[in-house]
Amino acid sequence: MLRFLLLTMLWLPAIGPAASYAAGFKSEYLQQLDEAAPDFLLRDASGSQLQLYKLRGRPVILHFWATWCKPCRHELPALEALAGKLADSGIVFLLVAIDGDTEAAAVRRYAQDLGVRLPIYLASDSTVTDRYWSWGIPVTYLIDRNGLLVGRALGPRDWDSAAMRAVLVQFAAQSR
Amino acid sequence: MRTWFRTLAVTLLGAASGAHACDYCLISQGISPLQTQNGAGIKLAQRYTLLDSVYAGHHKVDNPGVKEEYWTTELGAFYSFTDRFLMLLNVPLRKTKGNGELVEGPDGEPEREDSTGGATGLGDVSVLGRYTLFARHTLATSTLVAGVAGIKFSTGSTDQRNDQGEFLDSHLQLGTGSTDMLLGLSATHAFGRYTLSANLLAALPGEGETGDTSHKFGTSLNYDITGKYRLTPSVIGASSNQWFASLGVNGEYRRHEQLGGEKLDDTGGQTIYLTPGIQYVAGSHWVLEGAYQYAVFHDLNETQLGEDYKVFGSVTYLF
Repeated sequence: MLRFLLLTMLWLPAIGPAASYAAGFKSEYLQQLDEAAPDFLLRDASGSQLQLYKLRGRPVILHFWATWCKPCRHELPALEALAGKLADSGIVFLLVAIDGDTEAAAVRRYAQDLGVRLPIYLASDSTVTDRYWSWGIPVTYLIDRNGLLVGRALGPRDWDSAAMRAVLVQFAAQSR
Repeated sequence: MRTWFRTLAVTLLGAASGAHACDYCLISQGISPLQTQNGAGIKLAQRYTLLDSVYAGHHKVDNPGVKEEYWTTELGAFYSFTDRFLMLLNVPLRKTKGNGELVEGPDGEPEREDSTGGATGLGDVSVLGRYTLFARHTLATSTLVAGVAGIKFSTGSTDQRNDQGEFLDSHLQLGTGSTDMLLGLSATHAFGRYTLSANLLAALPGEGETGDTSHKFGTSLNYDITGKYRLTPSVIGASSNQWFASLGVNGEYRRHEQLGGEKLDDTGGQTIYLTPGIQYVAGSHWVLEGAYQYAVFHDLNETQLGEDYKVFGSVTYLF
């Protein structure tokens, strides 16, 4: 049995991903994915519609949060600051609240009170599948210019840290 | 992270329990075993183990009144050094209590010999490393395979005595007296509200002492397959709190022990458990768990005291 365990442990690395999309993902505990992002339609406060597939050609950071989520309260201002610092990267930030019972106006006011000026979308007013947050929030996806999900952050992150900014700059550049 | 081995005096038939009060089980089995999420956390766990049945092979026989009980409080901590490498530390505090010992009577049937004793104090501290060998994530699934290696140190005392002033049997001592290697594999597949996990953990004991006699526990293999289902919420969105139910089949196989270089025929064997459990995740920091591990199958060498059940609960704080 011991021999079996040792042989299995030696063999397993060979079946891991052959190539890494972004080595920097590891340092920030971002999971690597490689599949098409399910399309969805979002509406902003003014009623304007935004469809994911129409963002092809631009990298996207898709972040799911809720007003009852305490870690999210710290992440939203950091994402706002990050968006400002990476304005030239071409990254599109989509902040989607999954609150089911809270009025849309109250959700957006909550974000505004935290200093967030990015558009706030609501899952309840969209066609986004709950598979995106089926394991909990906060959860953040990186979608490349081809509409592929390439990264996922389960749980909160320090989005405005220098290390994370470096990873995302690399992501934006590599996903060209 | 632990295992409490047992041994018998040479002259005894089955001085209670080759029946494995498996103390590594909390890391190799149960609701949230080795596949701990990346990050850092501390865990406080409490376990109670009862051995109150006697088995000859896989047949239950009359118990002449022998009983053992174990209470283990475990302080655990884990920390991720990288996205693939995590280390776990476990510090157990044990209380053991034995009431009577099994001896072979004139007719070959097990009889009780008066002997009462127990011990309380620090057990054997262990340190483990977990390295993720394979990871594949999709929107709907997450699959991980990790290797585990560690060391259990001989920090628990092995010179505790019973009420007659004699050394306690090695399984009632606080430690094994040996430094042991731990080696294992852990696999997890999560999809939607379900998580399946499978774990193997081998313990390779070194030579130790019980009282003033050399003793070596048998190599053991802990195994576990557990399914977990998120009861509520069906879809994350209304609350950050989650309830899970789990059901696992797990067990332990242990080879014979040695005392003074001689194999003890009435030690070792296999015990299989059915383990229902429940887990409550409160927000993003707290995890509460409880489980009942019921022994459903014994196949013990010769005649031994066997486990009836274990009950454990834990509180984990994630930083």
